[in-house]
Amino acid sequence: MSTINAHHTPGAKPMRWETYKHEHHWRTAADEFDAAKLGMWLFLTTEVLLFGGIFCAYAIFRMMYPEAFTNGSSYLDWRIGLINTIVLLISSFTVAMSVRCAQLNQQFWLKANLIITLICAALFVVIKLTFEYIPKLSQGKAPGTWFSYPYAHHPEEPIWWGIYYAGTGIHALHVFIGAGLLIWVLVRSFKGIYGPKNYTMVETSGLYWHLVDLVWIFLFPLLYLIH
Amino acid sequence: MTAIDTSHDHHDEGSFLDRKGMGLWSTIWDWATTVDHKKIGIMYLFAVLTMFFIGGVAGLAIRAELLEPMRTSADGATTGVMINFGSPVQDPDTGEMIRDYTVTPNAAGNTFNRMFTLHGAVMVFMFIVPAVPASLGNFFLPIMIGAKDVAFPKLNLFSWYIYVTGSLFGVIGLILGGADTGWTFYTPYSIQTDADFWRVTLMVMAAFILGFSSILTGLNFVVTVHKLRAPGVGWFDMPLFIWAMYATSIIQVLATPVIGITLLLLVFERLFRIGIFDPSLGGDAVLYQHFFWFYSHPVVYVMILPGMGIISELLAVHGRKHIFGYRAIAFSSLGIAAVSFLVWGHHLFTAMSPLASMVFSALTFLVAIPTAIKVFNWIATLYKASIALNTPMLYALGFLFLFSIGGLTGLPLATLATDLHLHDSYFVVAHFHYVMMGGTVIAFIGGLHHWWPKMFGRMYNERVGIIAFALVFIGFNVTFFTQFFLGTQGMPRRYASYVDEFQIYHQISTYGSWVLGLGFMLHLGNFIHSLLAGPKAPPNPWGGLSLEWETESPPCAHNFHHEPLIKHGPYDFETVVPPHCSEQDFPLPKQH
Amino acid sequence: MSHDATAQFNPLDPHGHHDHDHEGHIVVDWKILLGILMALLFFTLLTVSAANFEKWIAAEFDVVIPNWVNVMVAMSIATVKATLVCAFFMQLFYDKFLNTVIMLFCLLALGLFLGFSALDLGGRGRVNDFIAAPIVLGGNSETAGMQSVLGSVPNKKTNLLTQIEFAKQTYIEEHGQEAWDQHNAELEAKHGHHGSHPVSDANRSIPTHGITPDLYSTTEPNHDGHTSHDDPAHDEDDGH
Repeated sequence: MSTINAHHTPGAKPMRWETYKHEHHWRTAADEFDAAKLGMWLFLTTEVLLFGGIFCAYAIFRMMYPEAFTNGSSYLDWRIGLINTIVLLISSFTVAMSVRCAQLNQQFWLKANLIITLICAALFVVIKLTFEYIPKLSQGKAPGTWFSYPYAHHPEEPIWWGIYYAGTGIHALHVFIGAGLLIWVLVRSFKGIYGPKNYTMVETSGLYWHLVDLVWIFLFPLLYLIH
Repeated sequence: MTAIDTSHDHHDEGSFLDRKGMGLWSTIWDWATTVDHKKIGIMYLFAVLTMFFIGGVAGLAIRAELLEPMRTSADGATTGVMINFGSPVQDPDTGEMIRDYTVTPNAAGNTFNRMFTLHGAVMVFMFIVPAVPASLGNFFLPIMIGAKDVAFPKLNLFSWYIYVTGSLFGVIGLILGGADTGWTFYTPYSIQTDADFWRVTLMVMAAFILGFSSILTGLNFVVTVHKLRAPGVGWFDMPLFIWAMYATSIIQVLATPVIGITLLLLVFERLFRIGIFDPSLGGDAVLYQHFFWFYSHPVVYVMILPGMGIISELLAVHGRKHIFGYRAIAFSSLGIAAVSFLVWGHHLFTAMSPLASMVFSALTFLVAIPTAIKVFNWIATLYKASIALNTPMLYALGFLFLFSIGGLTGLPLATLATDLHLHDSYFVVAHFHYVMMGGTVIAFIGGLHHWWPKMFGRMYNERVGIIAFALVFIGFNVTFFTQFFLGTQGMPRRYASYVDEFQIYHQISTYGSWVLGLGFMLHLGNFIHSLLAGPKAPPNPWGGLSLEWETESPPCAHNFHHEPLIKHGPYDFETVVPPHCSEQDFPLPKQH
Repeated sequence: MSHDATAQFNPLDPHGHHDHDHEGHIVVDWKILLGILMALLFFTLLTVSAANFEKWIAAEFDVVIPNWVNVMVAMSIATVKATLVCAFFMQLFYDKFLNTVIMLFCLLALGLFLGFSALDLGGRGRVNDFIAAPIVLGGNSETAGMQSVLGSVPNKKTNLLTQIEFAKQTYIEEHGQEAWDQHNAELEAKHGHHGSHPVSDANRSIPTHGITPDLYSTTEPNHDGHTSHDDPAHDEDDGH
């Protein structure tokens, strides 16, 4: 258990987190914080089940047409997937660190960690677009009726691409949403809103970002490695 | 050690409905930006009742069409468009493609398909699912556990706006001609029909958006029940309505995201043709049905569980007796929530392998256990109770009768052999109307009467309420009991025309629907009259013991002037004189 | 809600919390976080190497590794990684147990969803041919020519060819057979013969989609000339 010491300079204007007051319908700020975290976890369960739909479709189609999925997986370059996995894992680490920095009132490192996370998010999307989506789509490796790749072997390969784009696309959407949340946290952290007495938003946005990471931890082997 | 901030005790504040001298526009602005769960609950109430009206009109239109065996609407243009907003059509004279802005009478079959889709989609997604949790639940859940508000008030308001946005999508889809897929949006038909029109897509997006509203409400309630119970309100000190809302919220949180991804993929399917649910592009239509019913079966319990919670309150308060088997009822709510996730396959009996069908059939029978536990406990509560036959109590008794019919007719549908005969027939239609309407809607109307004085501070006219109940009860049974006969004799659902021998049943059913409609209009008139000229309601007109009766009617802005101190349980009618009541009005039983 | 319960209650501190906000919320040591990151990176490399190692063994020694081995290894490692992220980055390990319970319920629901949906796999795609038009593997693209509200969706007509066959024909029409042959040979040299030879029993599609000739043969003999699609040899023909 670390002890938290806010640095009070006598006479100086207190930072905004020091004057934080919980909303009136809560009895204590601790209750409010617990509830926010509980709510976020409940929301994360809904996100997991949302992706559950994609995973379920993947499992069913894979069991029905394993050859199509073997072929599909071999079109993807595992090295790109590996780089993206590392990028996301690092971003997850920096988010966890930013929560710690908020708890310890390390304002500079709070912002620095958030910025590193956002850079990782951008890197992830850029890698995804330039090395995966754009080349693949231009070769006609596209879902459903867009499919025009002439060297396919299994008639169900368009379904593989359907699952691939739906899964990674919805995941990318969550990257954007998570990055949006973190940008908001970053902007507010420049105003000194987050500190040992108030880091709820940092923590809950961080939880959301970890979920993005969690989903990718499963998508990566399912799409790139299982052959 | 710190003192609780006592500055939040509001001694001088008025009712939450007070306009405090604000003008019209500032009142509207005040309501539009409110984070007060009571105001949000009332806004939800008006929104869902509006949707109930739209869905009800569509239902009456379906019954009107079925009055005659042949099509009664004119067979007009065959474009399938009711109102054209510049959709491209071929000019019959020149053969050129032109933009059409006319209103054309539509082919009757198409209109009928759109009507029952409208009825189903509006009633399910926009009325029954949010009806009780979002209106009565929002208003009373925090009060009944002694809280000042729900856990996340801003999220609560946000979810109302999401609900309105979703409903608007549905209404726009309706104005553009409406979907003809049925409320289940089964693929591949829902991908192919009206492929170059927005209306089906809009209806699917409406259901998708409404799902978010449902999730946020459920999430809010779970956290509220966990974290905001007043000191002294333990888990087993909560009214059973709260238990039911808690079980409902768990289902909402765990099941709704799956319909989210399903409908999202369906929108992708319609807009981009990605093929996952489209067999002609290599996809799997049965997968869609699994996805859809993984949500839509549990959501049946999202509809009925709050109704069951209301009934537990009504029977105890208006019977002036301690609820029988408190824990059994509480745990059976959770039991129903758990079982609800195991039975969705009974909607696909004819699409699945025999093994899966048998497993799902066996699991489906499990639902009967917790449900029967509730019904037996309610009956036992009524035993030797001092029953006051007012409108809420009549609705509670009506619920027991109708819901039992609805529940028991579910058993032949869960049995594989009989289901092959009965599936997709009017027997199914009658069964789920007995459960959804005879269960949820009846309980909702009963609960609305029960809590109306608390919500608006006005009494309704009891005599009119009882007459309207009689009309609703008789009309409902005439409308839907005949449909059991129709179903067993082979009338399939979703058909606009039928063979002559069915006409007598269809006519009786249609006449019943008019009585039903009349009953609801009478209720509406009664409520409007109550708002305008009803006598002022006392704080505790029924002698209830749960916390909402401790505060005045309507409650003050923060529900209680002081944090409530719990002195008795919600059902201790035998030992406690109700708050704000005299012992003359609510005498305690003689102690032996 | 009995009188005893209120008596024990301290109304000034209803839930036993004290003044210090967030007391009980641990600040995780940065060394632990960094260690978890290292572990995650290690497991990532492990899963990649395991997959490539399997591929290498299969190619080098010409043995068939069943598909489930591959799936199990990858999924087990992913589960370990996910547990690490949940426990330490998301602090479930230090947090109130309730949050863990929520996550477990979520996984339970997910398991039910995946498990029960897969229950009828054996019955998927069984089509009585007196009910349905011929259903071909990969679809016959009936809806591919349908106009979408979005004008940009390709409005192609495949004349009941499968998607991949249509794509191949279109390419050959545009660039000629030679270009196709040449490029296809390059691809095969680069990636190996993926999908072009039966790898193992487990890697073959479950032959129940489309019309299954023998399924109802006792009562409804397959009297017409629909092409059977449960023959693996047929699927390979599509690619050549």
